[in-house]
Amino acid sequence: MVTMRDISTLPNLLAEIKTAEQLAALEIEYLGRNGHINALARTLQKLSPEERKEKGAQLNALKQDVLELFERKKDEIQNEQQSHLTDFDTSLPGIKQKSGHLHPTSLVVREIYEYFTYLGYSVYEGPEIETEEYNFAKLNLPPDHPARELQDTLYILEPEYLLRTHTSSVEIRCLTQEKLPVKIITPGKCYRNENTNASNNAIFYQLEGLFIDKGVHMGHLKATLDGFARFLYGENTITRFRCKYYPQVEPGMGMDIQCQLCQGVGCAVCKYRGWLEVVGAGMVHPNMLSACGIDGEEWSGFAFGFGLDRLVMMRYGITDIRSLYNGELVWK
Amino acid sequence: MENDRIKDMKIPLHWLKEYVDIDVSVNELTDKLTSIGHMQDKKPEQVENDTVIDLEVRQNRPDCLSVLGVAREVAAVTGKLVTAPSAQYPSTALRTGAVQSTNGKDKLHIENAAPDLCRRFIAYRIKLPQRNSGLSTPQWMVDRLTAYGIKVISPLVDITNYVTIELGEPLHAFDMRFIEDGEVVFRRAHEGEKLTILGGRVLTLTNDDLVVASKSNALSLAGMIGGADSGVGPDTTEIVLEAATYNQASIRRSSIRHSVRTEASSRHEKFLHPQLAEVALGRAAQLVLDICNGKIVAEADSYPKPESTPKILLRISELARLGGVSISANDASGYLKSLGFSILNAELSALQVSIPYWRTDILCEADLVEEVVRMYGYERTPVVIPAFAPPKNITSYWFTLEEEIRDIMLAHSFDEHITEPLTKSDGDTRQVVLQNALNSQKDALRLTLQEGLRHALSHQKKFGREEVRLFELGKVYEKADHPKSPYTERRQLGFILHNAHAPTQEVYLRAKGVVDSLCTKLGYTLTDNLYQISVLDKNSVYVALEIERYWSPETPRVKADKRLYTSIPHLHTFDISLYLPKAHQPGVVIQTVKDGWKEVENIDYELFQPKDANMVGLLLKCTVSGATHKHVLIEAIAETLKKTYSAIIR
Repeated sequence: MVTMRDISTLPNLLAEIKTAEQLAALEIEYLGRNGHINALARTLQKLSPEERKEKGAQLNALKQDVLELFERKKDEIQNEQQSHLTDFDTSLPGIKQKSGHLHPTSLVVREIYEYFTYLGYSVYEGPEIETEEYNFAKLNLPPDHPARELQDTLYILEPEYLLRTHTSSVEIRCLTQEKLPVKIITPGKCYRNENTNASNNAIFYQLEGLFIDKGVHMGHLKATLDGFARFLYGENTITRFRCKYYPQVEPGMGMDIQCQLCQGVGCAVCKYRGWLEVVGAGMVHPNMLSACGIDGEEWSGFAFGFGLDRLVMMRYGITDIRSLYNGELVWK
Repeated sequence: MENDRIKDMKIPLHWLKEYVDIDVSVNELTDKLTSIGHMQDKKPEQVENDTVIDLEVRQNRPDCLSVLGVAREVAAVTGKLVTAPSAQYPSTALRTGAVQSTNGKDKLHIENAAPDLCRRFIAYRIKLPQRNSGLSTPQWMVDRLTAYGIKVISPLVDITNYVTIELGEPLHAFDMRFIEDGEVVFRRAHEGEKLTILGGRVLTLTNDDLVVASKSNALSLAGMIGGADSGVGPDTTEIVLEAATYNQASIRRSSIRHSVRTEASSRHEKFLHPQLAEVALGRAAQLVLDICNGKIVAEADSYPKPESTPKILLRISELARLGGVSISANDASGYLKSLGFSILNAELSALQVSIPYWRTDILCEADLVEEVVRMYGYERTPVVIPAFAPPKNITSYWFTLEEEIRDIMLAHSFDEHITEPLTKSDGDTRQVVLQNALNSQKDALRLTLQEGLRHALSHQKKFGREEVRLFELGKVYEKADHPKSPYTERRQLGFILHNAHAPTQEVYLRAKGVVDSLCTKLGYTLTDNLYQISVLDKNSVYVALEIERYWSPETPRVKADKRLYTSIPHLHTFDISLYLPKAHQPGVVIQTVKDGWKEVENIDYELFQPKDANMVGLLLKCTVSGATHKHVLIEAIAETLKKTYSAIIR
């Protein structure tokens, strides 16, 4: 019969072991069905219940010690083997794993989307080939409104079919199709009739937002846009709200952020204003609501919008707007 | 809500101070103007003895294209009173709009043959005591015009320019010698009629242009620019001084048609109230009398449909409902009065407001809300975090799907591109062509995403990229037969796979594998009509996927998150090697096995050439999952391939 003393020789035995096979054999000798530990356990059966309880606890502790010794030795052997596995130049560079990149405009849309979905906005889409009605008439831009000229519209079949000049048309699609209340943002391509240069392009991206409910007012608009500015441009961004004209809103509003390059002192980037115009906004014009069959006495809401391209260019150090959409962007 | 190009207005401060006291610094002044809607455009400019501020003027505020108009805004925002220039003219008869002609000898008669294009025309016939060249413009006027940036020419011309800038109503003076019998005619131009304008350009007019004419010929393009021959010159001793109100849309169209933009056209293309015409004419006449010692000998006014000024009710509750700010009726009334509005009736809950003639932008109650709130100060109104219950999520199905596709394409190491949908028309009858594109290289909408991506590919190759993977999610556009929607647009996924070192077959099959993987990840069944692979050259292929056609919201889809997760099945592999008569394609054979035995999870394969040239060698390396009797399965597959394809199992 094995005694506690025999167990105490185990560390010495283990020290001599070199391979996993030797270790396995020794493990069976101690912990196998007919091993030393079970042999000891069998001796307990002959003892009185009190003694058995006391010795049993001792035996369990002993078994734990033995198990631990074997585990430790196993790790030791494994580590030794692994040191052979890395017997090559590990300083060589890793093998490059490729993955794709998003277009910077998609990246910015995702960034903005993050803020507005958190606030419960949906992303709404509409056609790029629009009708005069959805691009102009329903937006409080009746025929001969001065703003129509300024849109530099690209026509497919004048005056009825055109390429949308803003994503405001998507707001109209939403207001005529969906049940109120609505809270949407509308990112998308827009078009204007312009010869291309480094800062203007015939195609551009715009993102507009719309929130119509009962009791929405300018205070909510200010909070939404101020939060947006600080989300996008950093929490210390200073915003300014001022009166501004857009045909589809009344009252109209513009939000500026203090120029972060000159801290509001005035520099070439902000045209010496100290501020940069970032968002155009306002309360949705009662004419636009009624054009969509909405009772402006019951519902109210705000709309806001801005071009994405300048923002994208600022974010990603792109200096020529043409390179955004001509397929010549290459990632460093 | 894109920023439109806005006309800017230069305001020389000395000029401005004639109408309003200014006791704030230039910076404070421009800040205040910016906050109420007139943003400073460029830095204030120092000119000789004066400072000129430059404001972006809102499209709907033609009154602010005048120094007096800006003075009214300044007065309101700084709490001062505005002093308008005084004039004893026009006479009472003109004020009522009743006069058509006077004075037998010195006749002035207006014939308005195009009342739809000219709402009002009002004029004086004025005699000068001497030739124009003998008169001189007073220094104060010279200084102001110079500061504004208008060249000083002669007193008569300078006065019309001065009043245009001062009051925002363009005026014109004709030399009486060109107006036969005192007859002034307003008419549409004859088609093809020629007019030489100031500066010498010859315009060919259309029937949509309005001209001011004598009995025999056109004298000016109405509201825009004078003729080169009919204006005042050094020898002028008698003039017709006129002001008019036109159809602004017609002016705008003429201005675009003939590429003529003047101080006059940029004002007349906005809605100027007919009352302004008489105020401005009176002011100009007064100046001609004062400066040139002129004498009015006749007057005329054609004003067929007198325009009234609107009255609008402002409910005080609207200030809170739209503006989010509580302002009392008393305060609101104060703000409106400071801007020149008159309050016809004031109650605690509402104000009946009369709109001054120069505020042609005020058309509804919301406009008045803006007036009150901008004077209260946009900066001062409360900021309120919206606490509404979130509305239903109506996010576009396509936006969500495209976002999913983007992520999968990125994981397959494709870079996203966005290329321009505008392209050159190529005669394809399906193509949507633009009517008025400035750029002939971009006068149609694309039928495919291929062109843009190919350009991107060639750009990357040019810069030494040997392996290129690009994709774009975008729309293609086509003419449609449907009468309700003659044009369609639909989303496609296009991608390009290029590897300078891989044979065509490998590039092709990799591309096909991407489509397969995309379908699997998205949970759609791969169908043949979904995609089209085009070989671009020996190392590149282009793939177009008709996602909008075949992946609509109704398309059956087993989304990854709906799949059941099971404990990991054991995988077994086995090979079947066979010779296949050349008449049969190995791909079809593989598909037969895949379709026939669902437990076969994957089949890798190798092709080899046996001695028999009429056969193809095919080694199938099958992976099956779960407990299965391998040899039974192999036997069954072999039997089928023998029967169906006359394969010889090795």
